[in-house]
Formats: sequence, C-alpha cells, structure tokens
Amino acid sequence: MKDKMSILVVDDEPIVCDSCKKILTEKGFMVETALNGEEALKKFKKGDFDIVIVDLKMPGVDGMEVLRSVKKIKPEVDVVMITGYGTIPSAVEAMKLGAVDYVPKPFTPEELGQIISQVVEKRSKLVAEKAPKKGAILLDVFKKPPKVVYHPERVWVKDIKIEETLDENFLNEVRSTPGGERVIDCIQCGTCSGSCPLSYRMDYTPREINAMVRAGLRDEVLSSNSIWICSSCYLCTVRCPRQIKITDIMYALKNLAMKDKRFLKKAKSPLLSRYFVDNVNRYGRNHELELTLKFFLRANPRAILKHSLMGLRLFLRKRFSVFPKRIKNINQLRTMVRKAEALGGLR
Amino acid sequence: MKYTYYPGCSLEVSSKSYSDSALAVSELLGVELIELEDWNCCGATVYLSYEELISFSLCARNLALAEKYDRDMVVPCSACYTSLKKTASYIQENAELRNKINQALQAAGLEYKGKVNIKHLLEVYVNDIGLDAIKSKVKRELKGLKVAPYYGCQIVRPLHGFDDPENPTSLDRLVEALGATPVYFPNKTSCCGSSLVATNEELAFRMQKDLLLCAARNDAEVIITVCPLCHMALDAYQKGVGKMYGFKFKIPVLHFTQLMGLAFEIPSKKLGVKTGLVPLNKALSAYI
Amino acid sequence: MEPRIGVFVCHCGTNIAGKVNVEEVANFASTLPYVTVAKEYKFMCSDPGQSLILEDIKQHKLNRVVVAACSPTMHEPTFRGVCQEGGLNQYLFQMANIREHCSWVTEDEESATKKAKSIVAGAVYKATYLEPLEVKKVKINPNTLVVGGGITGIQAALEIADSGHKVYLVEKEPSIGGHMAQFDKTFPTLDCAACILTPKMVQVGQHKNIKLFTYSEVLEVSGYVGNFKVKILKKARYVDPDKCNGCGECALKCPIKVPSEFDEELGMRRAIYKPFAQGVPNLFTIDKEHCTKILKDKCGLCEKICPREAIDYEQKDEIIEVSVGAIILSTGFQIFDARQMPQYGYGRLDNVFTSLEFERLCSANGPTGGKIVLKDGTEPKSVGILHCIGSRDDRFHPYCSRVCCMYALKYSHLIKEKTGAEVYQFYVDMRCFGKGYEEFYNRLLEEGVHFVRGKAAEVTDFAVYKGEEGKLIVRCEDTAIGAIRRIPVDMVILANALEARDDAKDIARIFSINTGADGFFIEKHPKLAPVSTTTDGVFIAGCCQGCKDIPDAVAQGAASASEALSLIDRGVVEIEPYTSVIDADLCSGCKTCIELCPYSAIEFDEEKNVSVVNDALCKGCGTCVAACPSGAATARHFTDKQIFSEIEGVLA
Repeated sequence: MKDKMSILVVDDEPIVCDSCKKILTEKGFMVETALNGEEALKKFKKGDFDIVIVDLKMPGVDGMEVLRSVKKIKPEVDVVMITGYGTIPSAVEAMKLGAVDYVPKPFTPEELGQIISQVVEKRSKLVAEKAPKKGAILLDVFKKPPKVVYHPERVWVKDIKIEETLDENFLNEVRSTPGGERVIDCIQCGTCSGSCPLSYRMDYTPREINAMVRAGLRDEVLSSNSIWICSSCYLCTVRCPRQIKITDIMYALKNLAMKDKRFLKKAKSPLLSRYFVDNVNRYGRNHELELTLKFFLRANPRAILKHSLMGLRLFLRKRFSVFPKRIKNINQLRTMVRKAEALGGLR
Repeated sequence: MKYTYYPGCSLEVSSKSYSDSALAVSELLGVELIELEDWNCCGATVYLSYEELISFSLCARNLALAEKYDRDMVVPCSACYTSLKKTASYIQENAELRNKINQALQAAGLEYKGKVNIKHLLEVYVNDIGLDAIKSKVKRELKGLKVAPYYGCQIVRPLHGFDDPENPTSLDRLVEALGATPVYFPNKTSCCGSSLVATNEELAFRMQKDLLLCAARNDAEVIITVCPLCHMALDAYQKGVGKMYGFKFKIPVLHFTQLMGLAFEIPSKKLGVKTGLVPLNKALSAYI
Repeated sequence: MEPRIGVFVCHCGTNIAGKVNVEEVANFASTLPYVTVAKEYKFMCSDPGQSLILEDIKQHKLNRVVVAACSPTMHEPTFRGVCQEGGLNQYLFQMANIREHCSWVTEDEESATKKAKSIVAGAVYKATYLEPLEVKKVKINPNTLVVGGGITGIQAALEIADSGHKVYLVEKEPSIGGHMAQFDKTFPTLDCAACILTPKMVQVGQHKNIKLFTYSEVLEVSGYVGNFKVKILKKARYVDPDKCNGCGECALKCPIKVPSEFDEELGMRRAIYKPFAQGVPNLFTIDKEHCTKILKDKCGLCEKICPREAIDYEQKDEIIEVSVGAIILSTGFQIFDARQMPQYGYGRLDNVFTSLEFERLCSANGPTGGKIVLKDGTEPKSVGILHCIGSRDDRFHPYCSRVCCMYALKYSHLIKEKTGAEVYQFYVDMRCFGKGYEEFYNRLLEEGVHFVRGKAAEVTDFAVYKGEEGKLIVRCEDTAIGAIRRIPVDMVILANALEARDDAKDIARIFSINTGADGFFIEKHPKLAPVSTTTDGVFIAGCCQGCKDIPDAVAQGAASASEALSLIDRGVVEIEPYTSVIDADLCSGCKTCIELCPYSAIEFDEEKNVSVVNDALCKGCGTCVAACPSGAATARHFTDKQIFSEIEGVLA
C-alpha cells in the first residue's frame, strides 16, 4: 500500500472542491480536484486514486455516470457521493450501484473527515483480514483480549424492506435462548418501552426490537445501540402484560452481536464486557482497578484524568486494591469455562 | 442461625465497609455468616452480555460449592443476588441449559443438584430474624432521622421472591424498626444506572440525578442502599452528578447495615461509615 | 339376540380427517367383534350422513350404532334421534369422541389414527352390552327464578312476566338496578342510564307476575330441570316493608355515616339507607354492621322518628322456599382491584380514580351532583384515561374486557363537555366493534381528544420537567410516533378490567354449573347455546358469562327468558334414565349407600329390609355403585359389564 492515499474530488462548485482539498490535505491525503465529469474521468484514467468524491448533480456527465465509469474501470476504488437537498433517493440509487457512502450538503469539515476515515478504515480492514463468518463463535478467552475491531457505522437508508433480505432464522435464534421464548407473544402495547428508564435514547425501543426480531431484521437489531443501552433493571420484564422476559432478550441479542463482531459499533459496553471477561477468567474474581484502568485507557483515556481525583479519594479510603486476588482453584474454573465455551454457548 | 455467605467482588475491596458492617450487625443478631470458600465472580451483567452459558456456569460453580453445606446462601449484593438466583431458577426450568451447565461443571469435577436457597441479606434480616428481634437490639433509636430507603432494581426484580417488585416495603419497615423515619421516595426501585456509568456517563448521571433530586426534595438526611453498586453510583459519583446538574446539596449514602450498626451502637469505625466520599452531615454525625 | 353393530366414522371436514386416517379407522372397525358394517363419511351429522346411518340400520338389521365423531355434548342427541327413527331404542347408541379427545389434541397423524382406533374399539366393545332404556317424562313447574337484579335480570324477568308466567327475582343488594344504575350516560348514544333503566325498575317493582326478593340470596337449590326447589335467604332489613313508604325521615336523622357502596365510597350514606333515591323497592334498610342500636343497643332514633312505625329491630332473617321449573343466573361482574398494580398509584396517589368511581363523579345523583372534580374540589384541566388495567394482561386477566374502549370514549366526551379539560387516552388498540361505535370514535377524534397509542407504564407524582409540578405524570411510549413521553395531567382514570365476582365459584356450586379459567360461568356452547349451561334448566345471561356491554347483556337477558319460556311451554321434560338401581335380591340392607348418597335419593324399605332408589331424585353419580359391598347397586347405561368391556376394547 502507498503511504498516502489519494483522493479525487469532483464538484461543479469550485468552492466545494477547494474546501475539500483543504480539509483532506490536512488529514494527510493526496488530493486532486475536477470541476466536471469529463475532466474527472480524464484525470481518473491517468492517475492512481483510491477514493473518488463526486457531486451527484452536475451539468453534462453527472455524478451517477462518473460512478458507473469509475466502477467499470477500477471496481476496487471507493466512491463517495456528495448530495444536495432532495437528492437522497438518488443517493440510495448510487449506493446500490456501488457507492460506499454519501455526504449530504452542506457538510462540516468534521463530517467529511469522519466519513472518509470510515472509508479508509474499512479499506484497510478488508485488506488485513477476511470478514468473520456469520454466527461463528469467536471466544478465545485465554489469549490476550483481541482488539475489538469497530466497523464504520452502517448508514441505514430508509427503504422498502424486501422479504428476500430478511433473516427468517433470527426469531428462532432469539427464541432458543432461556427467556426469549415468548417474544412472539408481544401485543405491541409499549409498556416495556414506557417503563424503561433509558429507551428514550435507543435507536429502537424494546417494543420495536420485539417486532424487529419477529420480522427478521437481524442486522438492524444487532447493530443498534438499544441492546447496549439496556441497564438490566428488569422493569420491562416485570411489567410486561404478556410476561415476555425482555431483559433476557436483550442479553440474547448482546451475545449474538458479540459473536458476530461486525455489529459492534463504537459502543463502549462490548469493550467493557471483553475486559471484564478477561479479568474474571484470569483471576476468578473481578479486579476493579485493573478493569477500570484497562477500559478507560482504551475507551476514553481522558476520563482517567477526570476520575483520578475520585480514584485517589477511594484509594485513601482503602477502596481500591493494587493487587488482584486470584481464587485458589482457578484451574477448576478455567476448565469449566473452557468446557462451556466448547459446548458452543446457548444456541 | 448459620448461613453461607457470598460477599461478591465489590464487597472485597471497594465496598468493604458493607461487608464489615454486615458481619458486625449479623453477629449481634446471632446470624453466623460463613464465607463460601473459594467463591468466584458471579459474572454480573457484564459477563452475561458476553456469553450467557459461561456466565451461568460461573454462578453454577458457586452454587455447586455452596450445596455441600446444608445452609441457605446469603448475598448482600443485589447484582450477585439476581445472577445467582436467576441461574438457579433457569437450571430448574430449562432442561437444555441444565444439561449444558452440568456438562461444564462435570468437566471441572463439580455437580449441582439444584438445592441451594438464595437469599438477600435484607431478606434474612427482615424475614428470618424479624423486625421485633431487630428492634430489641436497638440501643440508640435514630429518632427523627429522615432516611430515603433506596431498593434499586435487582433486589426485587426480576425474581421477586420476598417483596413487591413495584412497591417494596421491607426496607421502610426496617428503617422504622430502627426508630428512624422513612421519607416518601417514589423512585425507590428505579435503576441507579451503575452498569452504564463507565460506558455512558451522561445517561447514568441522568438516572442518578433523579434519585438524588427525589431524596433531596423529600428532605432525606441519608440515603441507604442494599447493593454496593447503587452505593457507588450515588456516593462516589454524587459530586460529578451534582456538578453536571448544579446541585447545591450533598446527601450521605450508607449501606443499610451501617445504619443498623449505628442504631445498635456498634463503633462507627468498625462500620466504616466514614469511607464514603460524601461527607457525613450533622444529622448523621449525631449518632457517631 | 346377537349384537349387530354399525360403526360410522365422521371426517368432520378436515377437523378429524386432517389428522386421523378415517378410512383406516373404518376398516379397522369392521374387523371388531359383532361389527356388521363400518363406513366413513364427510359429515355424519348432515342430512345425507344421517340417511346413510338410517339405511344401514334397515339394510343390515343393525341393533347397535356407534358414531365416531365429535363430543357427545355436541351431537349425541342428533344420532340418538336417527336410531329412534330407525326403530332402535336410543340408548343402543354409543358415541366415540375422536375429535376433541383425539384429532384436535394430537400432533402426529400416525398416533392420532392409532388413538382413534382405540377409542372406536372401546365404544364398540361397550355397545355390545348396551341395553334399551326408557326416558322418564316429568311435568314442568311453570315458574322461573331469576338471580341478580341488574339490567340483564330485569330484562329477563320482565320478558317472562309479560308472557303471563310467574318470576321470582332475587337481588343481593337492597335495590335492583345493578351496575347500570351507577352509570351516568351510556355509549354510544349518550342517553342517560337512569332515564332508560329506572322505568324498567319500576315496572319490575309493580308487576303482578314478579315476586321481588331484594336484600336476599339463594342458599340452596335441589331438584332437576322442571322441578327445582330453591331456598332463599331474606336478610332482615329491620324495616317492615308493608309499613315503610320510603319517606327518608329516618336517614336524615340517623347519626351514623358510612362510606356509600353505591357511590364507590366517594360519598357517605347513613346506617339506615336506601342505596340511591330511585331505588326499587322504595324501602329503607338498616345496615346491621354499623347501626349502634343493633350493635350496642344505643340510639334508636329512627324508630322514634318513623311516622309509620316501620322500624323493627327485632326482625329476623327468613328462609323462604320456592319451586321453579327454570333458573336464570344474571349475577353480573365486579371490577378489578387496581391496587394490584402499584405502578398506577391507585389508593396511593390522590386523583387516580377507577372507572366506576368516575361514573359516580359524573352522575347527576352522585356525591358531587355530577361535577367532575379533583379531591380538593377543583376542576381538572387535563385528564388521562388509562386503558387495559388488568385486562389483556396474563398476570391478571388475559381477556379483553370489551367495554373499556367505549366507556373511555364516553368519559372523554363528558369531560370535554363538562370541564373543557384536555383528555389523553392511553390505549393499546381501539376496539369499537358495535353498532355505531366506530362512528362514536370518529366523533371523539373530531372533538380533539388526544389519542396516545401506548399502554401507560406508570403514574408518578415525581416532577422532573417544567409543567409537571403538582401534577400526575403518565409515562408511556407513544408507539405511533416512536417516542417516550411524560404527560402531566390533573386526574387519572383507570379503565379497570371487568372480572368474575369473587363469589362466582360459590354461585356455580349452588346451581351445579361450571366456571371457566377466566372465572366466568361457562355456557353450553359458545355459539349455538350461548345462554344454556350443562345443567338443564339453568341458564346464564349478562356479564356473569363474560364481559359485555349493555346491548349485549340485554339481548342475553331476553334470550335466556326465551329459553326458559320454551322449556316451560313444553309442559313436560324428558329425563335421562341414567339412574342407579338396587337389586333387592342382592341387597343386604347395610344402608351404606343411604349415608353416602349426595342427593338423598335412596330410601330404606323397612318391610323388605332393602335400599330403594328414588328415580326422580337420583342423578346417576354412581357413588352407591362404588360403595355397595354386595354389588347390588348398578348404574344404568354405565354398568360394570359395559365399562369393563369398554376398557377391554380400548386396550385391545
């Protein structure tokens, strides 16, 4: 791989071209610009670009045509569409034709930077390893915790749900978990979501999650933040008039998302879980200091500073111990965990 | 009365004062707590999020170890209580799960027959010992002390064995037995958000804000908890929450056993009442 | 005569044939002993099916018939009729239930077929030993007992009385009227409940064919269809009904105040009272639980004040016995106790009301004179109505209570009309199924009611946001917009479930009928016999059978009256001859059976020193048969021989 990626920016407004060039050059990319489709394709054929950013609406050869030609010439090049107000449906069309993402106009430098770094991350990821198999169990509890690889957030563009794309088996996956059996009994009354202290922040409320499990919207559910926001207070469970164990369903979904790592968005909970598991497998008990430090170092180093005073105060009150306590019969516990792991989990 | 005692990871270090006060109060009440040898972490909500079967197996190991003794198991931490109790009940209900857990246990030379009875410490005090016995041990009535009895979620949910999941009263009654006054506290079973405090501070703080606000509005002089995680959420993070929402008040948070210990005139040092991050106020200092 | 048995296997469309290989069953049946012919057909109960059996009886000279089809409660009478038509005694017929007992409850086709064969074999083996029996004919008493004086019972009683027959109407409370008397308006037409109910109550009170027993309960029922004997407890009301003219002087002077049951305890009544001004009969009643004269012999004011000397502290409870031919139960419902769901705050938070409490608040003869007010006397500016409290909830009542959506709409209208308050409905599904109901819903949409689709999760008084101080906050997911909402209101009305009365099981026992899993009385057939029960001559109507609104309850009241009249006008009734018989030659005269018989149907013949069964009283329960040490007692149609043979067949 080259040490610098190169990007071609195509827009009929010079100011957009210029500002893109400025933003992306600052981020360490090689950037060239073109003010129309014809010029763009000429430059593209000559140069060696990794990414093309192109405005959808242009006089003459438009964005869609540029996309088609680029994909024809070099399918591995990623194309990002720039869209204006009212062209979202065309953007969707473009994504179907192979565009990797789109930036709605107007955008801030941060927005552009974020989308491009996601594209870059995905590109390097594709080169580095094959995508994990769906449903494969990836528990390797005694090795050093692997880096949790985050994938770029999916852009869910609203569209017709095509039956063909739904996952019929999703409902069975959930129903085969203890507590998940009754998900089919939901009458969509919303008591769960109304009771949940956190549902207001979820991508989908627990009631919607129930409906989506039944409909087979596996990807949407497993990549949603809902399952990681659940604080496990069980209020939904005790209030559900159909006695559906909603909290347990959330656990089942967390497990499924964990196993299929492509669903782990930038939520921090999976990371915390991962470190906690490592901690318990190593010592048999949780070593609070180690867990906290490891987690914050990776998830949010700045928080360590922020919480250091609190940590010090706890330490002074002997509420933090520096050394972990290991249980005596740790080998027994590990044998058991290995066996449970070998059994392939619950599903 | 003898019980197998499962303290849980939090009570080992960060909430040691909960364990210390629980042991002191229990001794006074004639409750012998015998710590389960070589117990391991219950897995809590965190391991359960990762892999349910292993997490259930972790609980099952504790249950298998406890089954060797013909005693009820008492758990002071609500999170451990729910993990263990839920595992025990799922082992009963779900044949497939039972089979898999047994295989995992067998590999480690263990067996669980399903006989362990799990109780929360509060349940033992209120139901097994009884409020009358507790009252008789009170040496210094906490007259006039306004207490917010905070139950949190996992002590009454999802398997509500000993109190109502929506409107529990056992802690209120215990507070009364100590001579103190339980304040009106409609949020008494709302979640404290401790499981989110590391990963989503904003959401957790918002939940803690409501609890603190409700206690303050009803003139509580102290909040008591029945779970080390609730205690941590309301005590250690109170400063942060207060800063975020501009609170002008501070409410000390005690483990319920510490409050009992004060009424029993157990030396406050033994109870660790000063290990909280929120300093004690006037109302409480009077009893120290 | 050697038995010649015909076996007829029914497909019941796909109900049976979908799971059971009927052809195989018929072939199998033809191999069984004494079976002369075995056939299968799509619908045996249909005309061609019946003719098929009839022809075979004639052609093959059958003297026993077995039909393998549905439950005998469904079509046994049908096929018995066919046998009779074919010249056979109807008791030479045996039904094999391969639908409810087999095809409906078996997953696997092979095992269903296997089971069907066993059931058919059992029936064939039993049929071999069937004996002809003669039905008994008994005269029917033309009087009817109606239990429960709500709108359903009133309707039933008036229908029967108007036809010229006598009715005994028993009501537990001091006045008839039931729950409907508590209502203000009725949906969807909004006509005043009192205006349409009270004239009917007066009619009942004055009808020459209706004997009214208020403040009374049925203690015991004996006998059988056409000839019931009923013991009625007439509780002492300490007021002479012949002297009291309902002037009410007594209640004005009575010093004891008690929360009024009729007003759902929102208002007070006195210890001597009439539940409401329009009550029928126009009589006062002393509540002995609270009257100090009766409790402690203190006071006695009412006696002094009564201008007609109607007060009688010495009055005693009376037990009255009446004979009737038919019984109609219309004992009604009660509402779910919302304290079982603490999250809604009923009983804890002021201004959380039940549906019936709101009816009383709204009613012109209620404790506030029809003013909708909060506990502090002020008018609410906003009201939340919470649907499905205790209904559609597996922890309490899985069923839909059927009336709540509609009365919630009614309340919304009344609140808007009387106070102009904002009204929020928290609903799961709007169920507006009746005539004019959807139109009523549309009207309320236009009146500006806020419909929030989502069941309320909780009601709290913990204010967090602006505008919530001092209010009740309803938290819910508005599922239509996919958002969590907190809606502050002044008043909350809970649409509590209707449920079976606490004493429904006791009533069922007295009248020998059954209650279902939901607690309500079970009808004989949900579609074809909706007001009959498995006990002949006992009918059910109104909300004691299940939740229903006034139009449905009235319709059932009239339907049960028509069933009762149809029975009475038959004049005689046929009784199944399934009674016990004691063989005098074998009886040792030990009298064991006499002690055990639950119906006191066995007498002792001192002269012959043997026990004798009274056919009219015997119900054929078989207790004496099982108990008789010398084997002298036999149950007709269920003889040992028949039963053992049936078992042998099932196991063959």
